[in-house]
Amino acid sequence: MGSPCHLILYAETETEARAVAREAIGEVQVLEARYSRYRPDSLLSRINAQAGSKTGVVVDDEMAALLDYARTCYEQSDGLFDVTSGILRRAWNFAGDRLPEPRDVEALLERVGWNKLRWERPVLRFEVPGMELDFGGIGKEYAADRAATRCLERGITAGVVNLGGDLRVIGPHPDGTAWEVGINHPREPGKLLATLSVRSGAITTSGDYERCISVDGRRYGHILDPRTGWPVQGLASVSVAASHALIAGSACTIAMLKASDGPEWLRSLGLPALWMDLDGRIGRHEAGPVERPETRPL
Amino acid sequence: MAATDRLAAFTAAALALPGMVAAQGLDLSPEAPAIDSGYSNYQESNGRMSVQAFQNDASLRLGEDVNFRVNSTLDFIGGGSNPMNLSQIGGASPTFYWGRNNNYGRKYGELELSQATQGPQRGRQGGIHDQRLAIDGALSVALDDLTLGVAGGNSTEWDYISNFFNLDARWDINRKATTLAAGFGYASDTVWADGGNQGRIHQQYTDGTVIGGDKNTYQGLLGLTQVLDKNSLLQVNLTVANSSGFLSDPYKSAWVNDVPAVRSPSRRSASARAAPDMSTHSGASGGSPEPSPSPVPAPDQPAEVPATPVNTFCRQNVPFSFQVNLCADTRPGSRIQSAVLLRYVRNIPELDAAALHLDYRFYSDDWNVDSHTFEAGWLQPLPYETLLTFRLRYYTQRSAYFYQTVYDHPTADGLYSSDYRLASFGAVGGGLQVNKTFFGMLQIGGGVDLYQRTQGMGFMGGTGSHVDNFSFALYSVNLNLKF
Repeated sequence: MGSPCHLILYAETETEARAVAREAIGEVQVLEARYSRYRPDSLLSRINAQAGSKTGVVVDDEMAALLDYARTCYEQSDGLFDVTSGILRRAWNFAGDRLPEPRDVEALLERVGWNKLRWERPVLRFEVPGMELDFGGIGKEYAADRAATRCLERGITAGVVNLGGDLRVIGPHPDGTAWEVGINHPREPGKLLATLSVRSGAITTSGDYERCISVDGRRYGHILDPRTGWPVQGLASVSVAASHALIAGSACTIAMLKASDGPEWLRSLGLPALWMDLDGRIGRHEAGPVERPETRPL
Repeated sequence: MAATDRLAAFTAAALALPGMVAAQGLDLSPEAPAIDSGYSNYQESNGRMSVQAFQNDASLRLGEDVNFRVNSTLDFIGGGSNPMNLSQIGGASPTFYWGRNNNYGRKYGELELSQATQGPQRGRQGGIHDQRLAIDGALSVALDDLTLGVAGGNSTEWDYISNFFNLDARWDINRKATTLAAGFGYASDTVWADGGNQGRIHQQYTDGTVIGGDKNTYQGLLGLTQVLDKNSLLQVNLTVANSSGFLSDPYKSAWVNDVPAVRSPSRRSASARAAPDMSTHSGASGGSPEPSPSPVPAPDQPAEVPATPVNTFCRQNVPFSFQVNLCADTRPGSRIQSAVLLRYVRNIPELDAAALHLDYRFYSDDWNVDSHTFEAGWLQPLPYETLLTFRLRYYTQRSAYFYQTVYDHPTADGLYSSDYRLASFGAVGGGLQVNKTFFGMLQIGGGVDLYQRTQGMGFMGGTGSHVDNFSFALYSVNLNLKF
């Protein structure tokens, strides 16, 4: 997953805990193998290679549901959350200290845009050669949910899945008390911005501080605007609580992409959220018109 | 856009992904350790039969993945009045109720499904009496996604012994959204007609052979359960059974009109026939049967009528030997049965986790008996950990090809049965059950089931008799302890 992951769970015996943990970790590994952009043999890499053909590629149900989810994100973010924008990372090296050449970014932008692909279940086709899908902002969060589901199905009712800071609660401690979750301060390492109590659901955080380049005193975060190809500027950190890590994670990313409009967008979503802008102002939004996300039968 | 709409869009898209919600509410998990006790009281209309049944089940988990279950059932059967009484035999179609067996003690939903495969009950003057003790055990082992089970048991009555075993396998695939099941069963049964001394004396046909015999049944099952979404599932089960051996009812007889005259076995055939007078016969066959109308002897052989009339075209049960028109229930020596069950279960979280069950079952066998069963159930949780269950059911079946209410002539194939369970009929049933849970582990419940069988209610065609119409009420209480 490329980041520290933790699985904490309560079980009757250590044997049971280890057995369930093995299964949950297996879930995560399977999803990583399928959707990793770093693995040339992953399902995602194969689809990227084939979707550029004239006939496109037929995808399985899980990939189809992920694409449907990606379309929802694209529509709900007015085009800012775009799973085709990952290719821009080829120009951006966040481990270095240099900014990319503007013309390299320009060239890559031609291959970015959800409106440049045709997604008609079950066929996916890229209209521009060289486009790529990237499930960053979805994949890790989905894996956290899947791991939690597996634990629940195996009878575990207390525990937490933490995949690189994307946190999904399996259930409260056996005595019913909530998990205390600390949110890192985006500007003061080692300090907490807030501590939240979570009994169920998920909390994820997105910030400009984890992978970024600082040039001439200006911070360039890893969240790139698909319209310009350049990092968004507006919010330093956003945390969202939701029923699932997937929903919380995509909400964080969209709020970051919305920059100064992020807080307003979070209010329109109605989920509990906490954010800090570039001037250090902290904003907070409690659960909106709906106290808990509606889980409708499908 | 309203906040709820935006969030609903995300939520709906997220929940469409596989593995986002645990399969809860749909009980796919192995059984938890538990003890079940039940008492049922079965009352048939006109006081024809009453049954009291005590049932005890215990299940226990051995280690992590091994489950063991033991069931025992003790039944007492009594009849308030002679089952062969005038009210049932009146009219032109005499039907005999000796040893009727309604597969008592089970839910009415299974009533006809195993018809003519259960042990008959002894009919006696003054009532029916029998007892049954059944014990069976089952062991299941869970290996990851595969559950293997083996079960065996014995059921003993005064006129019936059954030994059986089953093997079954269940395989969860597709993240437990799909379950495949396969099973194989074998039963070896012995049936006879209780002639007294709690079944130790066996009745004989008039030709001296013992009534009854052995029966072997092989049964196979294939099942598919598919979780459709987090609140509903669909189940398809296919069952095939092949039985051979003595498949008749050792107590039952059929009435045949127009029979050849009875004569001494050593003499030549007589041309005269017994002329059955139905009204006379019906009246005479009440609680104290009288000899049949004497055969009309040929004028030249006045003194040759045997003391015991013997039919040349069918076998007769000893208790009926006085009746030249009665043939012992005689069915084919093999039977191939198949059935398909379709089941839809839907949980309704909006109504306090209520659940709807819809079942359809089609049954067909090579005796030409086809049937349809439609059943609907509603489970409604109420406050104070109370569960209300309501069920409604309709059943219709076509008669077996050899079934006749009354036979006009002896049959060419020698098959005779007027067993009401092989007739054409329809039935409706319904029931209500209330269960309440105490301390999260003790459940006490009670219920009533009503059943009405009516000749004209079926739509499958064939023959049958309104005389066989009956109804019953089943009252039950149960106690369940889960650890």
